[in-house]
Amino acid sequence: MRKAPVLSAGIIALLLFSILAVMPASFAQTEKGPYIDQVRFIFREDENLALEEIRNGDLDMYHFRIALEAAPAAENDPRLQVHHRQAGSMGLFVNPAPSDDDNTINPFEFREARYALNYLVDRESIVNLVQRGYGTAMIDPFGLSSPEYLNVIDIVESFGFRYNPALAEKMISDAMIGAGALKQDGKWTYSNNPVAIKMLIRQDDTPRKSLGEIVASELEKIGFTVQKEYGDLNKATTVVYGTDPKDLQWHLYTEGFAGTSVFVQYNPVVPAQMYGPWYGRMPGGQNPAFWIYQNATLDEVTQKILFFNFTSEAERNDLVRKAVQMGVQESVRIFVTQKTDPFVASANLRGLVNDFGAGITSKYTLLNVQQTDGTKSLDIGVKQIHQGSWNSIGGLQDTYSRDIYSSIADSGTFRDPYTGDIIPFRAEWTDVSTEGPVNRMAVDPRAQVWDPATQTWKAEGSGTSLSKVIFKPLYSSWHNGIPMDVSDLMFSQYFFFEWGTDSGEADQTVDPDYTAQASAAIPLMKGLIFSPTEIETYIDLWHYDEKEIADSGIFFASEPWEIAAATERLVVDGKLAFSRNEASVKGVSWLDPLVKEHADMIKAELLKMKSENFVPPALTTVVSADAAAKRYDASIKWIEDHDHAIISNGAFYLDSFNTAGGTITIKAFRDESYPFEVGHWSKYEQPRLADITSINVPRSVVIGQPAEVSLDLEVAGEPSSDATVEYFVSNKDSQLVARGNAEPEGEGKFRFELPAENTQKLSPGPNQLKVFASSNDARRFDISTSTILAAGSSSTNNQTSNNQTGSTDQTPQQPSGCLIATAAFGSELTPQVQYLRNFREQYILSTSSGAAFMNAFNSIYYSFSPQVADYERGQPWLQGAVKAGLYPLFGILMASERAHFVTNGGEAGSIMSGALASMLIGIVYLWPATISARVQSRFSAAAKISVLILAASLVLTFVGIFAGYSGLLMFSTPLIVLSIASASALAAGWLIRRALKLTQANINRKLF
Amino acid sequence: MGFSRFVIKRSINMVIVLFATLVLTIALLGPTMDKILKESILYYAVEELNNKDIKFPTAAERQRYIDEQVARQIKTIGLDEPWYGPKRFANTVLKVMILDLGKSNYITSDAGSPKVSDIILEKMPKTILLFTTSTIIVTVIGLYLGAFVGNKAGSLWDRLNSTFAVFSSSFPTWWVGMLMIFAFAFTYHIFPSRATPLTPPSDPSYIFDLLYHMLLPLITIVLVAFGAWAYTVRYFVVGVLGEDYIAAKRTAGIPERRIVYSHALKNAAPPIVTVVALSLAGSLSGAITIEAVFDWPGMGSLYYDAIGFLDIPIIIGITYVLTVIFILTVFVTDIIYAYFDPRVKVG
Repeated sequence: MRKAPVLSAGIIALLLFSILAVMPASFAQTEKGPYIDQVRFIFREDENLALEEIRNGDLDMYHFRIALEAAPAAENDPRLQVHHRQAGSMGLFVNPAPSDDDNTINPFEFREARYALNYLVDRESIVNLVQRGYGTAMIDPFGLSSPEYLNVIDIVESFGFRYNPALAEKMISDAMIGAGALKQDGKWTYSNNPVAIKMLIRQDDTPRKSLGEIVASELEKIGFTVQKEYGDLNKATTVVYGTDPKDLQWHLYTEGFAGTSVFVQYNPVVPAQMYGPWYGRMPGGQNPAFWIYQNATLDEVTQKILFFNFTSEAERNDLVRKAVQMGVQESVRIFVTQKTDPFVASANLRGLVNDFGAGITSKYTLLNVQQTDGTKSLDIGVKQIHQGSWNSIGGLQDTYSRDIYSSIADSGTFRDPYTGDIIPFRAEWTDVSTEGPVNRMAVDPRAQVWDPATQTWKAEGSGTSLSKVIFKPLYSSWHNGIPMDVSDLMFSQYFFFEWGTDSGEADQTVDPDYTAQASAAIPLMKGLIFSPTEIETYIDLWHYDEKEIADSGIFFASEPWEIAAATERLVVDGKLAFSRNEASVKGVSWLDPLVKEHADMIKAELLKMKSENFVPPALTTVVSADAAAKRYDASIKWIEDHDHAIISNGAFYLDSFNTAGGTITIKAFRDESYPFEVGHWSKYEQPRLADITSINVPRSVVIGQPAEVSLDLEVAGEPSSDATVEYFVSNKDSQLVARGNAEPEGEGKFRFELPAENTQKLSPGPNQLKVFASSNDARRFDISTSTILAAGSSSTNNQTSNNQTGSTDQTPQQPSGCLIATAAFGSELTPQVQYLRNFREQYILSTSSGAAFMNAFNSIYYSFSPQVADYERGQPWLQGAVKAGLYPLFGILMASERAHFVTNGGEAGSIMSGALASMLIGIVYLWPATISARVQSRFSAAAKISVLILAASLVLTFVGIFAGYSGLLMFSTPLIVLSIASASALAAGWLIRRALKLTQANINRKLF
Repeated sequence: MGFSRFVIKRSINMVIVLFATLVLTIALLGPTMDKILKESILYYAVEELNNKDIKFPTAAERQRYIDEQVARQIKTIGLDEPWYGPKRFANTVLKVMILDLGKSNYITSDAGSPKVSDIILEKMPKTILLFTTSTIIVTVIGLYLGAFVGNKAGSLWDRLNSTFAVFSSSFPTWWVGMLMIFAFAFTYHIFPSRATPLTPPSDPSYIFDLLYHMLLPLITIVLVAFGAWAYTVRYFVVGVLGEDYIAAKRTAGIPERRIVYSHALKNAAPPIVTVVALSLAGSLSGAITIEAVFDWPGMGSLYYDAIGFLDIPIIIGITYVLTVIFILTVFVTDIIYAYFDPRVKVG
């Protein structure tokens, strides 16, 4: 009997113990919001000092780029991690207006001359030298980083622009001579006057200043008199966009564009903005008093894209391709490079999400970041802390405030950081249906819109719409503790209709800035059905991608209705204004809920609303006076506690704004009602990038015979076929001869065939193969560039042979990487490795002699480099030594680039640059092997042998080039390199020995 | 002339100078700024559309929106009338003369006010706290050091002072500031790198935190400036010490210290007072580079931001306020001179 109570007590104790043991774990599992508890944004204007502060641990991150000059050191600093963000573009804006004056001429009024500029600008060189590798060459307005690029790759590749000043000069000369200009003493003249080009160069942006200097120099070399004028954006706005192009106050301008703050899949604005005269950004703007650049076709095409006048994805893609093709051909706006900005964070952080658009400043970063030392707070430096009002109607106009605000306010939808796709965020759509683009659907008779005239919700009756979206909002509590509900969403739509309608003079609910925007959108909203858990919207919008329809039909509220209602009353009473303009017009302050004075005004209004038992007319059916009073109390308390009125629904809440200290502190919102648990967004930590690990290209292809190419692909480090692989083959004249998609053949394996009709169009000698691969989860390309040597049927051709793996592959694999350098610098994306790759692609592989040398070199290099690279990665001392050893090589290659230019490229340029590089390599690297007395004693004989070998190999090389015999080239070109390198090493060793002897003799003389 | 007549004449001069400065500022800014502003408004109206997700059904709707936005902004800022238009010109000049500086076009104060006077008054104390304080310290150090080395003209101390003055004046203050930050904030962790504390003003320890944070920029400014000031004072003192009455006082047995710091310094006061007064007045404009390096949001950075935004009311407001302060300083200095030195009144 006595045992029973003891047993019961034991069981109860065991149960209690189990519950207590599990409880912390379960709390940890369901903890909501971000990993960190607090983020402090600190005003830090100077990015160099911010970088030092991160090094010293005083800051964790900086929300602005660091100087390109500081980036290489930052990349190698173990205290830092550097993330790259696509950051817009730079290029040339060209004035195509004809001259009014009979004695002067504008060279760029001729399309051919404008087009020729694409050959006059060395895009690769500008990326390497001006941007220090931080960027990519750009021809189209989207750039490599945009998902839209996949649609226009073939158009871009078909232009085949390469730096070719001789071709550019010829094209320009033909145009100028045709117009009656003359070249006298190397300078263009027209009616006996020098042809002057006025170039406005942006001096406040160092890369653009360099671009301007380089282009001006190239123009001067081909005979123009260039007048360089320097200025900032204000000057550009006045001169370039504010004067009549026909006045010819400018001919060229170094233009630049900022990148997008969000990674988007579709960017319909870009073609219109960059190429459409109607849009207002082409010469002349839309100023009727000016000469205006006109192009009716571009107007039509770009308008169709922007205003969704297409009926299918294929039609839309065709329109975009046409716009890009025409825009590039017109060359009024020429893109040169896309920029990459380096952003820096402490190495102690993990979980940063490098959104392809926003970079590490994206919303996802703060949701997912953690400190490796377990610290729960973060200090982030920002360039500006409070640059304008924070009201959600007419404020938040600067990027700094929007960045911080996005961390405290969630939206219904957001974008996948790596694909740009619309994803549900705080609203899950359960149904998206459309009858568009042609047909329409009936709007449910219960659907309503707010009628400002009657101040009621009015049923729409028998209207129709193109599409319908049904979505479930993911409610939570507001930061003040009050649960969100349908009344908040209803108020947001009430506000949209009420303030978007201008009923006339007596209408007090008008802010011209907001009203103008909303009034454009009101006709698209055909009806709404509100219920506690679900919203149904009828909209007059169509897109072939249903996610875009969902995005247009979903709305969410960023502040509680009582705050919106209070501010509305203050504005209607004339005490504040939503927009800056209206504030100026009415002589009142611009509403800013972040500042204490305005928050106190909002609080006073809330108290008044409470005393009036006020419920907004739009909410009388869903909100009682008691419920409204509770809301007012909660918001009043919030304002009293925090001295601001920014209340929202995000994973963070705004705790305080210290104006004196220039800091904004946000803290994690750990409310159970928040829908996302800690770590919810960790799936975005690493993009699942496609990586072409190897590509099997035939060593040579017989023209007119089919050929096959296969490649291995990984996604996120694992073999995968979950990717899109597209190939482009262009011949020596840069004409596209083949394109298509590679087909998957097993996990991680792709192949494609070049049929005979395509190989028939190849040029004898080197042709270029480019393969673009992107995974379906991350739209960023891995690009592999290879050379296909094509020859006639008598040459060595598609020899099938079993290689070591036993397959019937035709060639040794041609890996595409500088493995030892990559291992030394850490990544293929570093500027140094990119430089080596670009040098190889541009100056060596572009010719048959260079390509043959690379084949021979690769067959030796790749036999040992993977093992060396593997070992190197584990030995930091070796990485440092290799880096130090490689730096002189970069200088040598830069010098040999000059040799390439001097001989105007081609085979001669390739041989000259190879010879110079070999000589310098011998002098810099190989002289220690030749300094010994024993070697020097045979100097004379060795020199003679080197010269003989050099002469013979040169003869063989020329024979190989003219006969198209690649096998001979593979033998002779390495001999050239070796003979020159050894001869120069011997010579250097001899000189050094001599110098040492002379020095010794001098010392001896002085001593004795 | 009598003292009262002297004061009246100086007052009238002051008003004329103020008026002329204002008219000149507006005339210089007017034509160029109007054009730049109008083009900027159009440029940014289109840029704003690029960044916003507003769906217009047709190109005509979109253009109408842009035209309306531009017209509204032009009217709001007052650009619908030329800068020399009677209404705009007279309003601006007359209002500014009485320190009704109007409202800014873009910048607001931390408290959300667009009034130019509020914005300037918000930044001015910060500038006074750092730059005026450092000017006072530089003055005090410079006076005593200058007097000390002035009495030892030609000595090692004198040469050291001269050398230091040359060196310290040669280096830009912002560069020295960067070095100081790297040395004493990043390397030796003695001072914080930012001059603004992170503690809120409501915290009781805020004032001590502020003074601690302010030390590094203060030391930097003093270090760069005091040498040259000491050299200037030295020059004046050497001149006075060569006078006969100083020799007479020495002969009379008055202690050397009293001769230097009481008699010589006092007689060297007029030019010193002028320079001190003008330095104090000048300190109110702050220094953009120092403020940028140390993140000190004072008048210098406000002026720089206003130029960047082309916020004309603020540019005119700051220029006028600083001119008023400068002219008032000169006026007060003249009065003090006239009071103490009868020769000045007669001249």
